[in-house]
Amino acid sequence: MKRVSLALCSLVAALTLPAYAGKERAAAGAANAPSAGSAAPAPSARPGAEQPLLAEVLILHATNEQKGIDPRIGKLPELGKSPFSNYDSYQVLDRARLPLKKDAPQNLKLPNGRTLQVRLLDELGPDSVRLSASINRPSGKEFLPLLEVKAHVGQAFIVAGQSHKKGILVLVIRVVK
Amino acid sequence: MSVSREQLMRYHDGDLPEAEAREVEAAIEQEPALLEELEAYSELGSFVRAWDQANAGKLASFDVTDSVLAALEPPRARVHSLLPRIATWVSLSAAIAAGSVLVVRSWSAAPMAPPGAGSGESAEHGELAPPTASAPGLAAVLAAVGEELPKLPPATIESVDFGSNTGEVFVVSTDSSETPVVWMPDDAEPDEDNEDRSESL
Repeated sequence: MKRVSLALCSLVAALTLPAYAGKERAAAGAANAPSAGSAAPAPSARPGAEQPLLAEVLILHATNEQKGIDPRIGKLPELGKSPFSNYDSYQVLDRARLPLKKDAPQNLKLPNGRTLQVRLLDELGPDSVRLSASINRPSGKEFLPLLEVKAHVGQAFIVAGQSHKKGILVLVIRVVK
Repeated sequence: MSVSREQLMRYHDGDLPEAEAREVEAAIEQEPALLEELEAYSELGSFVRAWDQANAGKLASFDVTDSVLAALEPPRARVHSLLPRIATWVSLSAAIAAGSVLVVRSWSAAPMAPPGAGSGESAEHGELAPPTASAPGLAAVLAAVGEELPKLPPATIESVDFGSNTGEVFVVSTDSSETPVVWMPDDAEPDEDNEDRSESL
């Protein structure tokens, strides 16, 4: 009888512990950035479960200060390609997740004082969207009036070139769930 | 005359020749101890005969097969006692297998937003966490088993308005992706409120 109880306890532990481990891993994974242009969509953690679409914005500061690549950036092979390879240092300045909702533009303050606005235009499918992005100056003047992008979940596009502290800003914007 | 025990027993059983039997009888008359020993033999014989009669039925029904099976009974009992242990190991194996399946499924799950990942007008900033040696994603797992994911078209820039600025659009190709890039050199005059805010991070 004791053996049967022990076996049942082991069964319960074996079934519950991995679930907790999975939750922690998923939460940790939310902070990780896979390759910016990964063609494979990020699979949902729970098949069939409706999860909100998000725009994950990674704000990088590119300089030539010989500091190397910030390890928090993760795998971003685009930085090794021109024109990004013209800079030898990339630092993570900020990372944000903006909920993508129709008629609900999301604003993110950039380190240079400007404001990035992201907006969902259409849901083309369960994992495909059309979204718009724009950048406004503090005075209200538009720096990048409008940018419309079609992307699948897991795919990214980059907006770069704004001057900032002896370098430029590189905004990596990815659609995630 | 001395009488040996063997002679006395053979006398008791009536196996001695006539002449020798007379000699034994003469010795018994001279030695009362021999008579007592002879009576003991008689009592022993009576006991043996009585036991033989009492167990005649058992001896007649004695079966070698039953005796062998009875001797094998303890090992059979041992086999029965192993069943709970086997059940325990089977249960443990099933639990480990189920746990392994869940581990594999959780490893192959995609990174997802933390619960309640913000809504409303303001942006919600995530924690800056260093990338870890993350588990292989679903694509890597499928690639490892030789399956191919359907190739999705890369993200595309449908339209862009640079306003009064200049810029260009191009695609950066890597081994695994094609990423569209909007490049806007910002060499113009600084913003009116272009103060340094990066230190807050």
